[in-house]
This record gives sequence, structure tokens and C-alpha cells, in this order.
Amino acid sequence: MLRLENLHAHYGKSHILQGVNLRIEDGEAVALLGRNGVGKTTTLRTIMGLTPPSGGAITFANVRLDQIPAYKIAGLGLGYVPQGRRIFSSLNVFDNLCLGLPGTPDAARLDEIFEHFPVLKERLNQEGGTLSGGEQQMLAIARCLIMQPKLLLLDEPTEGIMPKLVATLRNEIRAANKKGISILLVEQNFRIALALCTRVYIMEKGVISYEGTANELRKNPDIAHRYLGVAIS
Amino acid sequence: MPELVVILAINGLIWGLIIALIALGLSIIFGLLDIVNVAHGDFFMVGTVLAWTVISYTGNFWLAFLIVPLIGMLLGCAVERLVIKPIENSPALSIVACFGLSLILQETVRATFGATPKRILDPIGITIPLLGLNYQIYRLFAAAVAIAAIVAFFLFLHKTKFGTWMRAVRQDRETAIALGLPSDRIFLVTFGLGTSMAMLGGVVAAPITSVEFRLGLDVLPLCFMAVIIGGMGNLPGTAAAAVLLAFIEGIITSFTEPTTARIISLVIMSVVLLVRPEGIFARRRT
Repeated sequence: MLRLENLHAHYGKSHILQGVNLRIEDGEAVALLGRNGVGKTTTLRTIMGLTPPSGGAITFANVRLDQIPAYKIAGLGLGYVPQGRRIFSSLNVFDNLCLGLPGTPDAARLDEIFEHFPVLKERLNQEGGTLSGGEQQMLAIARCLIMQPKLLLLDEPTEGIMPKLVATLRNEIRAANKKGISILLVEQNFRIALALCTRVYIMEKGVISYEGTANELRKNPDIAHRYLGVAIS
Repeated sequence: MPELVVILAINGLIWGLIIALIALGLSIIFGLLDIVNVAHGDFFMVGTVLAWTVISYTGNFWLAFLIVPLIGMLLGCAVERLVIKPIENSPALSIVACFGLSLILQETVRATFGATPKRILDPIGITIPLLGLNYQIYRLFAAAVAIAAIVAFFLFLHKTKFGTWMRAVRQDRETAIALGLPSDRIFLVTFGLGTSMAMLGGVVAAPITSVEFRLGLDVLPLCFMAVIIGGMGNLPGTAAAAVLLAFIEGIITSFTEPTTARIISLVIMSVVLLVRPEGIFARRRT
């Protein structure tokens, strides 16, 4: 469904993505791991058209994303949960939630969201900026889910979130995946990534240096240690 | 003398409401498109000139009052597509382009309309006695129109989907785009709306000011000062600062020259920048 072929991207003169190849099939949950600054966030930004690629191709459902305006990408079925959540702090929760929809959603769709994120229902008229970090993260995910995406790109969704809420977020991401939404997860929390995803890419200095299944990584802890400097226990 | 001060204060207040309308247009263009539109005052001027033109052909001020803001919307949209959009990622170029636009507007008006200031007759032509003077009802009408337009603008921003989109783009353009907001259309409408507000200000102000090609040069600094004193990006603050500034200038003008009044405004702005760089009406940022 999503295919990155030899993708390059620059920030000024620095060559951030140096030929990334990656693919995600329908319904798959894939993790993109790597140390800080290797280009994981840039990969997601480039997919969403926020950082223009300097070479290569991005294909989603037979559409070349690198050849259409950035604002048209979400409409094809891509949901993007950016790092740091980036909730619109001066908009209320309802406006944040429904922002990407052309009008107001029907009650059934709203109810489905509230079923998964009941805390948002209680805070509908509150300004986005007054929510806690975990609540903002739920809102950031919910505002994508309400648009019924085919693929969800998540950039470190558990970063800086209370441990109690991390489990909730993990369950909601898994629930979305069970419904058939593909996931591309950038995550520092290795265990969450392995728990949610069946396949893993590891990035180093702007290229994919390892590709394998989550099971392989579990069986070979030295891989994680070598590429990421983490120990799985 | 005290009567004169009161009258000038009221005039200042009314002028301030018109400036607030124009400054809000400037502020949303700046907030959404990242463009310091130094031609904004000239759109106001074009509004007054078009009002004069419509009146000289039809004799009907109210027709001008209806169509000039519409022309403003179209003109703004055309300028966004032809001038602003081709250089959208270069703030430095956009200032040069807007400055060029400002010269083109001024010189086009000078070449066609002429350099001599002209006056428009009071369209209502009724006065009421106020503190022993005859006060034009039209000025009160102008204030009411400015207030209505400002209220309508805020209702549009807060009560419509498109307005919510505009607020979202103003706060975080990237995330708004990633959520699929039609940024192209939002920028187009914002520039059109901002220009239309300046030109509506122009029609409304035309009967209480002289109409000439340099009019924008007088209005633009006041708008910028309102945006700065009100707090960059703070729309209600901008409106309040515009009213306050024009009101103060109005009072000061009764004692001294308009130039001195402007100097005092600039001093006020400098003091505000020193003491509260975020503007006097800045809210706590979250």
C-alpha cells in the first residue's frame, strides 16, 4: 500500500535521507526504529509532503505522493500523528477533533471515537492547550481516526506520556490496526514497538540498515543491541 | 475648547474603529501567509478612490458601499494568485513584491485619478447637535459599519468551519496541511478577505477623509502599530489597540499638530515594545 523507493531528502545542505526503501502492505503494522537523528521523523514528514524529497518516489495506493500538493495527501487515507502531538492549543477539543473533516461528523462516527477515547467526550469544549500530554496524544490520534484513514503514521506517540496512559495508547493503536488500518510507528520505546508491530525497519544515518520481523528481533537480542544500543529483557 | 476635545475624541474613536477593521485584515494576512503586506494601506486607498469613482458615475454612495468590498475580495484573490503565491516560500521576496505592489497601486491611481485630493459629500447629509456643534450622522453610521464588520469577522472566524480552518492554519500551518486542510484555498480566501476589509474601510472612510493616492501611507503605520501594540497575532488585541491609538491621536490633535500626535503614538509603541514586547493585550501563551 505504501512504498518508498530510494527516497532522498535534504534540510539545507545536510543530506538527511540517503536512499530509504520501505514498504507497508495492507493491514500491516510496521515499526521504524533507530537512534536519534537518523531520519525517522524526516521519513514520516517526507511521506506527508511536509519535507519535499530531493529524489526517489513515494507511492501510496498507486498515487505518487511526491507529485501532489501536501494538503491532498491526508484525503487519500493517510493519518499523521506528529511528534509532540501538535494539538491546536487555542481550538477547543471538538474543533481539533473534527478539523480534517469537511463538515461536522455524524453522531455514529463521533460515538465510535468516544467509545475508544471517553476522556475527549468530557472535554469537548475545553481548549486543546488545557489538556494533559496523554489527553493531547489521544486527541492527536483521534483526529486522524475520525477521518477513517487506511494508514496511520505515528511519530513517538508514547514520548513523555504517563506510564498509565502508555498502555491505553498502545491498546488503541492495536485496536485501530485490528480494524484494518495499517500502522507505521516511529518509536523509541522498543518494547512497545515490538508489542504492536509484526515487522521492523531499523534506520542508520539516513538509510534502512536492517529489515526483519519482530520475532527475529525478539530471538536475536544482539541485533537490537548492535543497531540501537538497547537491551531487550 | 473642551467641547472640541470631546468631538475630536469621538472622531478619533470612530477613526480607530475603521483602522481596527483595516488592521485586522493586515493581521490575518500576516498570521496565515507570513506576509508583511506593506501594500495593505494602498488597498484602503484604492477603496476610497473606487468609492469616489462609483459615486462620480452613478451618484450613489450606497452602491459603492456594496460593490467596493466585493471588488476588494476579487482584487485580493487575484493578487494572491499572481503576486503572492509564486513566491510563497520566500518572506524577503514577499516584502519586495508587496512594496512593488504598493508603488503600482499608488502610481496607477495617480495616473488615472490624478494627484489632487478630492472630497466625497456626506452621503447622509443630516447632522445632529452635539455639544453646540452640528455632528454628522454619517460618522456614527461609519462607526456602526466598522463595528458590524469586525463582529462579523470574529463570528466568521469562530463559528464557521472555514474560520476554524483559518485559525488552525494561523497556529500551525504544517499540522493543518498534514490534516488535509485545503491550504491553497485558505490562503486565497484569507488574502481576499483581508483586502476586502481594507477596501470596506476605504469606502466607509471616504466621506470623512480626503481621497488621494497617498492616503495609504498615512493609514499603514497606524495599522502596524495596532498590530504590534495589540500583540502580534492577537486579533482582539489588535482591534483594541487600533481604537486606543486613534482615540489618543484624536485627543492629542486637538492640542497640537497631527504630526506631533503621530510622534506620540510612536513613542507609546516604543514604550510598549520595551515594557511588554508581547503587546499590551497579550494573553498568557499555552
